[in-house]
Amino acid sequence: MQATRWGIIASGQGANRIAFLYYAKYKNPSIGDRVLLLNTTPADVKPEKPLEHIFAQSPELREKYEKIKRERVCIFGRAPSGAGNNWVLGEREAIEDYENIRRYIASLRLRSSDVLLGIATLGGGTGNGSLPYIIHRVRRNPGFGMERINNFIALGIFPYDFEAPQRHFNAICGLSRLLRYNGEQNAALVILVDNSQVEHILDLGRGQKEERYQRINEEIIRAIHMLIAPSTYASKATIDIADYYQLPSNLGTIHFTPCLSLGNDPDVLSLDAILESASNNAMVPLDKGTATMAYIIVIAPEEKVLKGEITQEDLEDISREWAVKHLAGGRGGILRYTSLITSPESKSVDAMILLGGFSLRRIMEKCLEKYYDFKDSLSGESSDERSRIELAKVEKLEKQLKDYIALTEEKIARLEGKRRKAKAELRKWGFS
Amino acid sequence: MNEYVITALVVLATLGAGLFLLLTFGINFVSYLAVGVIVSVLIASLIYTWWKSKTDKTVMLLKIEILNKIRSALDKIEDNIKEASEFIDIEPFMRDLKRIRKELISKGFFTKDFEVNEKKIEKVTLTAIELESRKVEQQLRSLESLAAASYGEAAAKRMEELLSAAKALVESGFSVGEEYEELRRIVKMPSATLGELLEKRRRSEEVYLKIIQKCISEAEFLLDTAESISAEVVHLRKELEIVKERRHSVEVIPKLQKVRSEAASYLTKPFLQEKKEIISYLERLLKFIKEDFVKEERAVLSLREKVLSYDDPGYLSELSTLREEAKRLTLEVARALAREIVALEEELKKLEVAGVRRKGVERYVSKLDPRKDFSKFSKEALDVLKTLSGEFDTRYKTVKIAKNYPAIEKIIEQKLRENGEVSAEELKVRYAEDFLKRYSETHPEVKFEKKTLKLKG
Repeated sequence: MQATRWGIIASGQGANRIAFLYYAKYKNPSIGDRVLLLNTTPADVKPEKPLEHIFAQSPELREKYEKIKRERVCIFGRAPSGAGNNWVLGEREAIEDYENIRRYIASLRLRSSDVLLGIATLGGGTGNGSLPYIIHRVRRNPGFGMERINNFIALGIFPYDFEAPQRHFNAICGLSRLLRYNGEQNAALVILVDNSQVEHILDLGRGQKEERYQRINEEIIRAIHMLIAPSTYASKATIDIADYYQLPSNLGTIHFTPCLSLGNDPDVLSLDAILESASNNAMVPLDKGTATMAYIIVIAPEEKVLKGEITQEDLEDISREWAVKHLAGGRGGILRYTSLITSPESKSVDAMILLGGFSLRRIMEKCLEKYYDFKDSLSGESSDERSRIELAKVEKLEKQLKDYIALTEEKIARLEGKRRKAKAELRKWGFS
Repeated sequence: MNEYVITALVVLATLGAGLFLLLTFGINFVSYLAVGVIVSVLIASLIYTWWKSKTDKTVMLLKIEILNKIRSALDKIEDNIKEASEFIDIEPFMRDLKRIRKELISKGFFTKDFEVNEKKIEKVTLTAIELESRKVEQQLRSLESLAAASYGEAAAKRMEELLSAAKALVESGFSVGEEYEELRRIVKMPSATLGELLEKRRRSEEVYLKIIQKCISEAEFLLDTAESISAEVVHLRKELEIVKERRHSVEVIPKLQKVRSEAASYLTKPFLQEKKEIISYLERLLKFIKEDFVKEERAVLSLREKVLSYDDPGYLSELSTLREEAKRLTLEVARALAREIVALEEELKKLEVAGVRRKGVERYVSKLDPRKDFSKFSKEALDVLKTLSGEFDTRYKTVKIAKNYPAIEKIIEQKLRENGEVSAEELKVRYAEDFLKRYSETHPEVKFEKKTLKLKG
């Protein structure tokens, strides 16, 4: 069986940094060189400007960038100074210059069975504006010379708590558009990460701003690596890409967040403790016990697996216990996959729990005030038609997200509610 | 190119001269001249060949060589037949050989002393000598086949005898497995001619003697060892003397077996005792080998396997070699432990763990002296290893706790937030008690209950 191939499309400055860092630091055969960096402004002449801080750390990284620059950096749109934090303009530029974007995506030579991971920071204009539209096109009508790629996963990054209202407004609109676009499900799966939450998990304190951002980005790329790991390494029970989105799509709740616990010493920490530690590290703020789905991915040293010290069976058992304790309803949620992956190089145990279907309350809590501060001040009468944020459109997006949240809450509530008793159900099925 | 030109010119000149003679003297003259030239050339060729063969020495040399070959073939087969006389009646074969020699002398090829008769063979053609050689060769071949058939059966019987005698010795516990295999290979080798059969037997006898000699040495060693523990072995030495005298005979095998078996029975007790001592030491040594000491563990396990595989008291002497090997491995394990302890000390320094100082554990290793006898050495070694292992474990644990504390601190905090308390069991990590204690030391708001092993907020 051929391994699943992945491609990454990163739109906007923040996403460019993350995707390039991932490409430069991880030699992942599932990805190869299929990393595409999109931006609306060459900042203004140099597309590598957002990456200067990364280059400063190592000249090798600049060399790597120079190698991919010609084929893997796409500057789209007509705006001379980018989208200017306006997602409407970001989307407009993508729509008008889609042919240019399509050519670059086609050059990744992906097949319909491959996977695309789209990355965008939700507080900005370019990535947040363009990525939902690109996902919508590539999944439904990609255009000449390209196969439809249904497996398009989105990674949306929420702005820091301290950021300005317009960025939180953008984030709410962006989240709504990643989940649904023109009334239909958009991305196959939406993975959410919150910058402030990651900063809190990493306990970064008050270091240099660029360094802190770098650490946060590195944590995000570790999550990406863990996400792709089941397609890459020797897996005891492979989580196929279809497993990531098929059932969540059917359930109607497609948002997830990674919870990482990396570099654990297998001589000290048991798998129970590692999963416990991971569940404390959700990359968005969330209420514990509201998640309804979990993908548990553990990368363990090959020698420990061969010796039988860590087994898929043990992991399944521990995952079950963990799920009963941590997923909604106290009965292990709705959906759970567990995959043990062996790594010959690794000496430590890395674990990622991809929690899904959790209540979005805490995210909304952090954004809503600033969202309304901005939204309520909108006039909807900009003279530039291309960049005008129409209130009607915003209302539509808001309703769309409200509907999605209502569905999520309903599922959580159902799990928390009365459980169907087997005895009564059996009677309905004709058993005496 | 030049050759073609010259040839063409010669042909043209000849034709020109012919044409000239034809035109000058007429057809009759030219015809007589041509026939005359051809006849003269033929006669001259014949005379030249006769004269040449008369004076050429090469033919004579060839004749002598062929006859010498016949003579050496005769000598060789005669020698082989004589060598085979142990098992066959050689009289008829010798008679036939004599007859062949006589015939050759009577035909003038050889003198009475069976030297090549050079004078007489001058007049004999090379072809005649070649024919004679082929005839003799055929006769010798059939003679040899007959001899080989008679000898082969008896020789095979003898070689099988040697083989089964050697096998019996191997089965009795003598360390002659390799030599037995060599003998078996020789005996099974294909052999068609008498020469090959003789060679095979010769080699079989040689290897067999080597086996017997080795067994005698081994038996002597066992007797010496048994004597050293005051066993009465005089009667066995006498038996061994008989073996030495009649080492070619397979009949001495039971005697050799008896010597070995009785000598070994005297050694059983000390053998088993020593074997047990080594095994038990190696097993204790294994307990000090840490998880990452793969090379050392493999070496000790392999030595233990080797000791276990010796189940015959005759191997008593081998055990002393293995004891030395055990000492060497002990030193390796001790050195590895000391090395790791130093590495852990360095790591603790990097981790800035307070109260850690280098203890200079190498001095323990230098205490070990492999020249001491095994029981003294092993006692001292186990003490040193126990100390080193203890030092290793303490530092290993301190490193593990220091390295993992940040991750586990978060788990403890979370559990305290959720339940107000956390027990060592709930923490589900190794060294849980130590982690909880450390947490309580740095967080005065919580208290660690030693009795319940619980941390309470």
